[in-house]
Amino acid sequence: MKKYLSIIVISLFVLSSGIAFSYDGSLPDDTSYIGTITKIDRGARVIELTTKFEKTPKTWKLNMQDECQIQVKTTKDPSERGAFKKFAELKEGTLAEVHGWPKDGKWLARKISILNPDDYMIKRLESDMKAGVYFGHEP
Amino acid sequence: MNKKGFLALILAVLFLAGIAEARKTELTPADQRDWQVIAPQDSDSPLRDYAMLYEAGGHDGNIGVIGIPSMKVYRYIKMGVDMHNFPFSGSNAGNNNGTPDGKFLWVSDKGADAVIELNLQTGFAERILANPKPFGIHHSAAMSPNGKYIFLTGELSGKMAKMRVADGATTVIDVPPAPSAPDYPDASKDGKYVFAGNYYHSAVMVFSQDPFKFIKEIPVGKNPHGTNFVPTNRWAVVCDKLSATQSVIDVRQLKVHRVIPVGAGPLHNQPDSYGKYNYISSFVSDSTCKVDLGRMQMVDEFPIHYRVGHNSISPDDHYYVSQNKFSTGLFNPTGIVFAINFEEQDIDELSPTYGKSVKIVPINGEPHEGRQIFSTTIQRWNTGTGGDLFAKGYELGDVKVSFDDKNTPGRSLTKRPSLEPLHLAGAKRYFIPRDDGKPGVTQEGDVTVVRIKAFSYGYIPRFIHVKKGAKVRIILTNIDKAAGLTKNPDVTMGFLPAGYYGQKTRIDGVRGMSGVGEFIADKAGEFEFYCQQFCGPLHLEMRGTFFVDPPGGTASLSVGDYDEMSKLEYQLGDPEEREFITGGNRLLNTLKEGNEPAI
Repeated sequence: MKKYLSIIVISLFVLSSGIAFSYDGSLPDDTSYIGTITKIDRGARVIELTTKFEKTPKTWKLNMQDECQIQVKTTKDPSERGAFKKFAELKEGTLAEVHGWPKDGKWLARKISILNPDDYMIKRLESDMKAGVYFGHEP
Repeated sequence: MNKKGFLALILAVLFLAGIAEARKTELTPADQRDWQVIAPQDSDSPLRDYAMLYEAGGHDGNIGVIGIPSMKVYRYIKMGVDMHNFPFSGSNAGNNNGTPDGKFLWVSDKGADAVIELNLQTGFAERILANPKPFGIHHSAAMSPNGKYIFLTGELSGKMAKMRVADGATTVIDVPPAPSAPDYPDASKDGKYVFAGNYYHSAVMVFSQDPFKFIKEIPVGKNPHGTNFVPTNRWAVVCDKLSATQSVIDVRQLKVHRVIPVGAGPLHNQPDSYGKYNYISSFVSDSTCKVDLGRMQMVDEFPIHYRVGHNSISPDDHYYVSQNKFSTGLFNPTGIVFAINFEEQDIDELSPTYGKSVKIVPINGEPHEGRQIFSTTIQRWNTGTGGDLFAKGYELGDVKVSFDDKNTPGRSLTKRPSLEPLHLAGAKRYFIPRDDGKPGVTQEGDVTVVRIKAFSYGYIPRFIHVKKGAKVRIILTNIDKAAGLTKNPDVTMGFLPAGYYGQKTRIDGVRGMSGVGEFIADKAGEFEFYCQQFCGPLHLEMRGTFFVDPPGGTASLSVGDYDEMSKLEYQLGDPEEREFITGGNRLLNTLKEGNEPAI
């Protein structure tokens, strides 16, 4: 009986290790995400971001730190490059890259970068996805 | 028509059709990638630049400010002796550029063994964070995610330090087992780890940020240098300088995940802000190597001119700057010390000039770290709004940035210092015809003469002892025949003892003549000296030790006038400026471990 139990425990451990260290897209303790802002709670300063370029999109709830910057990173309008935006100007449906870190059960955003959907990196991530190379997956 | 005639007719028709196809003038995508482009390009000398490259200028003692994409040099800001690495204040969230709040950058001064704070808004050095003596800083590029701490690598003493930038309170720990040479560090984006390459061990040393302690070492390729976390924090990328590989460390498992062959002599990483591509400077192969971290393989390589060291990437991932160490044959001579160069490369895959060098400009000094920032972060203070800097600060969108840090030593709401730390103090330097005297220490009258031969990559002798109080004359002779592995004919050698004497002597050794430095050895101690002029892939390992022995004894890292030197800490033109110095031995081990969260 002990033998069977130990085999089950070892199998579960191996299985859980495999799950813990298999990278199939973004994970809760990643420190950046790329995707579309699908929901904005302006009162609570929380945004929801649904990832792109992954095999299965995931939705993450991101709490904005007081110091969280919102900045245009890539744009068709050269005069807008690097422009800082106010939270009120942030719109749902925006393609964004968010940097921050998890702490005490919350994910704290430090920077939201607004992206141009026609930028070369977005096109690259799209074409890679079509070729079966998904962002954040185990290579 | 017989069969042969029919075949000949078909062939003739196909031949003519082929000619007609070949004569078509329609541009193919391949044609459009050529140099001959009509559409205006970003880099066509814009009057305003959308980003700024800040670079630590090495032995010129400056921080250089360069426009992106124009590559125009805007300013050289006087900082110290030998500037190496820096983070922008704010957070390390993102790639190497981090998330700057636009207030400061903190640059390591390897020559003076200190960290100097540059106020980005005033554009002047504002404070000196003195390292506890002896320390022997090299890089200090690692900042915690919350921006409150910087991690310093004591390459020359085998130590690491965590410093609270508000007041300079520092904890120093040893890097076991000795000898260790922690050089290029980075801090993980989640506040857990600090990684630092250790070329004596061919390993990456792992420390926890809070509490600050050594955890383990991870064996990587031979002689690791640039070590950086990617923005997702999933991987840390390590340049295995002598293995021509990139080790990719799995940050969750703390072990090497993949080893990727890259160009020879990889030195530094620039991951893009997505963590998709990592751009590597490869010194020996004279190239920028582009690694796809999605596929875990090198996918492109761009030539550079020549011998790249550090590198930087624009905040929108559209331009990459190869910070080259040699300009052999490219520019006019400027004396014994030649101008190195920065080469801007277009990395926008949809651009007609993708992969090409779009600008190459001569640069002063021997730059190390380069980081880029959107120009919108630096405010326009010179049109009557300067007063706002003191109390009101500025806004980055909704984020209010204030200089209200009155609780910081040496700071107040009504005073923003403008320091000019001395590059060299009490130093007498000159050149003489090549000196072929026997290397070693001799007494000539009342002068202790130290003859040192410098070559790629070392010194003869490596250990030098002089007596405290001696009048010292260092004679440095470059004995390289063809500049070591790289064969560049214009290699200059250097001699710079880190710490107290770093401000008294900094000698350049060109082939054919000898450099001389004279000073009084008035403080006892052990001082590592190094080559401040980049001379090849093992330049970093070109080290020796200068002992100033106290009466009746031998100096060591524990026997010397360290407390006395710590009171001086850094030499400034005006003694009253010392109020802007903090840290040093006075605040050694005052940072309470386990009580100082990094996020």
